[in-house]
Amino acid sequence: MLEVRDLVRFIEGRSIWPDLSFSLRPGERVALRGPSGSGKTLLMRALVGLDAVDGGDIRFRDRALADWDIPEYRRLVRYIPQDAAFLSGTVRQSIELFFSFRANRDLQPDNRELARFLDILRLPETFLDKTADFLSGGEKQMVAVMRSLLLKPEILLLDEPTSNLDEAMVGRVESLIEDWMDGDRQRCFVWTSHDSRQLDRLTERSIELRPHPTEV
Amino acid sequence: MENASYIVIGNWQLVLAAMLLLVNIALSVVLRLGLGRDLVVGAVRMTVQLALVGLVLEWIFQTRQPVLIVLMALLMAGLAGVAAVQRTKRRFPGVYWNSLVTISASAFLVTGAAVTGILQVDPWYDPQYLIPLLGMVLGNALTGISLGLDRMMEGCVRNRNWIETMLSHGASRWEAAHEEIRQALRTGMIPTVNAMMIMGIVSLPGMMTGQILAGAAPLDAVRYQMVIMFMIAACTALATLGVVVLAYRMLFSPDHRLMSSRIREKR
Repeated sequence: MLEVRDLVRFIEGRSIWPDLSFSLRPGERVALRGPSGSGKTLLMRALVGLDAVDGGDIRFRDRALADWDIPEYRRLVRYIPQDAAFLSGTVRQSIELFFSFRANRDLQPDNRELARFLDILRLPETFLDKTADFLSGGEKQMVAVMRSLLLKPEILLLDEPTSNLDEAMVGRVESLIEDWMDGDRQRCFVWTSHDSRQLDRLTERSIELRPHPTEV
Repeated sequence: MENASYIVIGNWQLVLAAMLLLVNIALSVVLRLGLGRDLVVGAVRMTVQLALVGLVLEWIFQTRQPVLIVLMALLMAGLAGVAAVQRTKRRFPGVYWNSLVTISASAFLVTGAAVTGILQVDPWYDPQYLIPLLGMVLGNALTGISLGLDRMMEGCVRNRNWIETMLSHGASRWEAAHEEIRQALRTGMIPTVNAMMIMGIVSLPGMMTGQILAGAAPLDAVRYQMVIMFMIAACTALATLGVVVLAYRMLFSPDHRLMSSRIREKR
């Protein structure tokens, strides 16, 4: 579904992720592992074209990234950054704004779906009328995941999606993702976490990033 | 200009006027306010710069060579374009070029329309009209450009996270940049809009005052002031829009990426 071949990026003259090739198949749950500074976030950003790369191929549905309309591609391959940002209005406005983008024009905010997500996260409906500025770091992460899922992506790239959550909430976000996976067999995700037990629990295989040899 | 309708200022009168400032400088020295040096440098610079400009203008007004006048206009636009960028806190590659192109295009367009279409000056290059009108339009466009550019770059740096969150949820580069562009345009236009709001109430505009001093009837001077304000507003809007859109094209790549690395802090 998503194939990455010999992806290269140089930072200050050295290649991060040497010899990186992998592919994601429908229905897969994949962990992206590597020590801090091994370029996990940079890899996710590169996969959705937020950063340029210096070489290699990214193909999605047998089409090279360069041949995709990028907003269309990013609608299907969704990167959720660790510190996703919000409009300084209510949570609902932050969610609805994304439906106004041209690439998402055939989607409608689905209130039943939203209610179900809130239910899984055990958040009250009034939560949607909170001002995003006053959300805690953990609440922002939950809303960010929920907001992304409403836009019906095919592949999720989750960068430390539970890093600011307490233990109980971690479980709820995990079930939200599992619920999304159950919705369609084509879907798959890549997840990074400092908690390797979480990755062992959620994923069935790993992509390993190693620090550059000169650093070891 | 023998029989001018205003009092011609001689050298002694200039010296007398400078005395007004001398009193302040003396005060600053006695009270150790530390203002003396800046005042002296400022006063000397002002005197020398204006004297030089006066000489050049006098020469151009006498020769009335269209080539010289156009060269003077180009030089003025060039200086304004460079000065606009020098006032910004950040830079990106090609920023000087952007500023020069937009300030020249918008100022020549608006001034050209005014001298040929509105005032119908004959010949169009008559420096009595062309040079002061262009100068005023450039001065204001310069402010609009530098404020607009500054706000655009500031917005892209400060709101990078939000912009990239929008981009990664399917926003096109235009959709992601739209709010920053809007804010940059607003910021660039604020001084011009404010000036129009209070004009005549709080401040008497310099050009109008000058015409009245030179013997023009106040109502005629007011009409000139209105025309020049319309020109200034039109040119500033055009120049700010132009430079912000060019900045947008530089800071957002065609494949919908925010090029943060292109923005550099001024040394």
